[in-house]
Amino acid sequence: MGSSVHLEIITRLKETFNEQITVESGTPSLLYLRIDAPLVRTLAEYVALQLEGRFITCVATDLRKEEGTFRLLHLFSLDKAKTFLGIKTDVNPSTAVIDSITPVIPGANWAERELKDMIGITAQGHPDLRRLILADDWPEEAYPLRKDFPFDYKPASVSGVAPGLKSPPASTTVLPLGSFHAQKEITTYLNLFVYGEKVVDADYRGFYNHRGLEKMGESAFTYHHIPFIAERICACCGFSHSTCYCQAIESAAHLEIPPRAKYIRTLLLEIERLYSHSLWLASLCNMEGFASLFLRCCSLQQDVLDLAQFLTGNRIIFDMNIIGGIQKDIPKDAQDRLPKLIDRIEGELKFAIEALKGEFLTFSQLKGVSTLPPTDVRRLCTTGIIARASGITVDARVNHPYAAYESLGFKPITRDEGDNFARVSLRLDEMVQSLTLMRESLEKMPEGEINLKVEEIPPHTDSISAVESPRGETVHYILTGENNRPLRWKIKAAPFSNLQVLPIMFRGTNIADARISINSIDPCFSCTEH
Amino acid sequence: MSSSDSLPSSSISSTPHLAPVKKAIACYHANIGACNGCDLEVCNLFSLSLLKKLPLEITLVRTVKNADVLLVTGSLSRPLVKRIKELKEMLTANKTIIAVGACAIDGGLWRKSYPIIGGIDKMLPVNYYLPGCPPAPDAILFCLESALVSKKKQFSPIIYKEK
Amino acid sequence: MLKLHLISELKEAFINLKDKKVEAPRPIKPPFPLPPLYKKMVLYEKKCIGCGACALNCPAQCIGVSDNKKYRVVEFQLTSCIYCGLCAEVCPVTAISFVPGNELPSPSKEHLHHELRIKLKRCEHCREIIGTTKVILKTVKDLFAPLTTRELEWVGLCSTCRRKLQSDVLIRQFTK
Repeated sequence: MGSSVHLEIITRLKETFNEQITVESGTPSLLYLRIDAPLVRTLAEYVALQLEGRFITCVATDLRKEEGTFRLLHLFSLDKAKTFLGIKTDVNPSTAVIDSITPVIPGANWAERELKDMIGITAQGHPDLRRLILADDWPEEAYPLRKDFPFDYKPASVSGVAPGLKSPPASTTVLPLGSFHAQKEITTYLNLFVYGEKVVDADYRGFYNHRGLEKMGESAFTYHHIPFIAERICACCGFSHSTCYCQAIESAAHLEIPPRAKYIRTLLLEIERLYSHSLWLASLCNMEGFASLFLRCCSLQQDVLDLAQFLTGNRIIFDMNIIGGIQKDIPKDAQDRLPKLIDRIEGELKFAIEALKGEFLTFSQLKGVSTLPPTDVRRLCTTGIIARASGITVDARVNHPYAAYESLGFKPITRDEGDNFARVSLRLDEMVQSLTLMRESLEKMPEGEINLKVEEIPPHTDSISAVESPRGETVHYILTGENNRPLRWKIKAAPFSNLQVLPIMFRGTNIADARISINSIDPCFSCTEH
Repeated sequence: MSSSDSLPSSSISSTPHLAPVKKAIACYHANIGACNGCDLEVCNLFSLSLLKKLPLEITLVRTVKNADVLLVTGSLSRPLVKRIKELKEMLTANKTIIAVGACAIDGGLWRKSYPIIGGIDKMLPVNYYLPGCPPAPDAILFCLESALVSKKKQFSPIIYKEK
Repeated sequence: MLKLHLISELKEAFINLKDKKVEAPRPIKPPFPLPPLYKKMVLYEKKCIGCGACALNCPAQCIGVSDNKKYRVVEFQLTSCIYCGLCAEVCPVTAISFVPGNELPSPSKEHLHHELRIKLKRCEHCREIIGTTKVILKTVKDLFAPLTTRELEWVGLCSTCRRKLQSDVLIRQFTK
């Protein structure tokens, strides 16, 4: 996985861009290329088209005190080579301008809007640079991620800077959905532009849940506090976030955690996936009007939570991850009692799947509705179930293996159609696969220690880690610093790139099916808006 | 509607004696910027009330005007101040407001962060505070019972001993 | 001994009755026996030595340690407690512990705010603060070997005064 694959990539790159790039390599799965600012767009286009790289996110760090520039990093993932690729460049802080890569890679749309909001770097050539993350009454020149902005400074309200929503195209009406959201009790605001009964376009104003976590991680918390904070980014995907952070720090400090900790992390990740999907299933049955199955799925949720309480002592937020492994061990009689509980949950789940597939409603509302072709999925760089339901195999458990998935022999499932029915069936199949994985990891769990003592984490080291959360691929990037806290912590949650799919998915859908289409991509707003 | 109300004696079907009807406690749940942990526990409580027989009858309603109790979760973030002002105009004086979870009491983990203003008591008058991250459904049920049924006034959440 | 124990228990029962402390019952029974949730916090006021380890380890930063003229004040703002248990693991005298049970509601925020005071010890020479009396007593008790009488004289001094006195003693020895 290491240098032979890297050498191939480096030789191909050097043929085209001979002297303009310098290569630095970090850990065995990470490769850095350093280039000057005006050439970033051509290099990004080459990586995306010739090397088949998938764009993840852009990270900007304020290094004016140490080196006098802003450091900008574009992260790509080369799936077949199982490696990450980063393009490093320096941006002049007085002008703070960079060429936008959105005309070439449409999936970078929201990432560049975030750059403008949080640190003030303008991407020239971007089609739509409205405010995305900060509140409607936040003043103009106050950029939170710069180092001279204190983390607890709350500026006064300013009027007249709110970003408007798009004006509707000719002869359409506007139908607002929100602001207490249709699927969960979360606030968002979605405007649908409707012509007759069919939806033509949509616009979105969200980020009511922004809590400023990245800034607090650099200024107020230390390394050992953050796993507990990261778990409270979102309750249904919290364990993936804390695992991702712990893995990033462990790879920066070159630690290898004991095998029992890896198997326990796998078990808890699958329990969280099962809980999140069973929440989604109850919500789907509620929306379709299938009330008796809704109650059955609620009972399934409570069974999964009781299982989690038996293993960890906590219901939704487990508080088990620390840097170096796991804090407390699972109970000693887990090997005997757990298989019966898993059998019971499997029985309930199979009953629910049979009942759902035998219903006429399922087919009329789901088949052929809101189709997403694979070309759109590749252009928008989505991951998770949306990509796998359109035929593209993208799964962080296979592309960047972590925990115990490689030794369990995991294989992802894909489908071809790309409509609502494909996404719904794929999620149901993944729930059954989760139960199999839980049984296997319980059988093969080795004895031994559960954590390592961590002495010191070396400063000024980059590292990156990816985890497959229930909604897609979550990536954390860390630049370690002094004072026992990170210098830059970047969270890229899975629904951030999934939500950009909404306007394209809605074309040709009826108004009555719009709620179910939103449900089938399963958005999670607290993850996106950290 | 007791059975001694006037019904003609020559009616074909005789209505049975009607039992007195008690109203279930109607709750409205508002999320003002949380991680969803407390929301999921509130939703779990209402699912459990449909699945098992709890000591207290509770239902979930979708508008504030029908509700007796307002369950608030999450810390107050800047963009939502406008919407809470609209909510406040719909409230009348005899509704109980319960702040569920550490974030609703005073902002929780994020109380010092730049987009967070604080807990819900900066805008609405709160009757009961329930700590926890997240509080279990048993604790939320106990809070509802002590707020509405037994109307206890004095509690001490943390025991501190002399030894 | 037994009488003192009984008296302290009675005092506790009286405080409980006066404040109407209650336990939250569990009406929702799980289908198989589960371990309980450890979400109730118990603080032992007299055991605290004022070392500040809990304040460094709390992720929510709800414990604050500050110094007065005479006392060290440890302030618990338990409105933001996330019940992770890190403070109980780190405390050297187990003054904080989490017991099975659920959090209880309260009608005002003052119930969630506690302050503990521990006496400060000042240097006998220069009157600077060196720590609390209880921290010094516990350190002396836990050392691996008992101190000699000459070493015990120096326990009540701050580090600069200790160095100054030792160097004075050495100078006197060498210039004799």
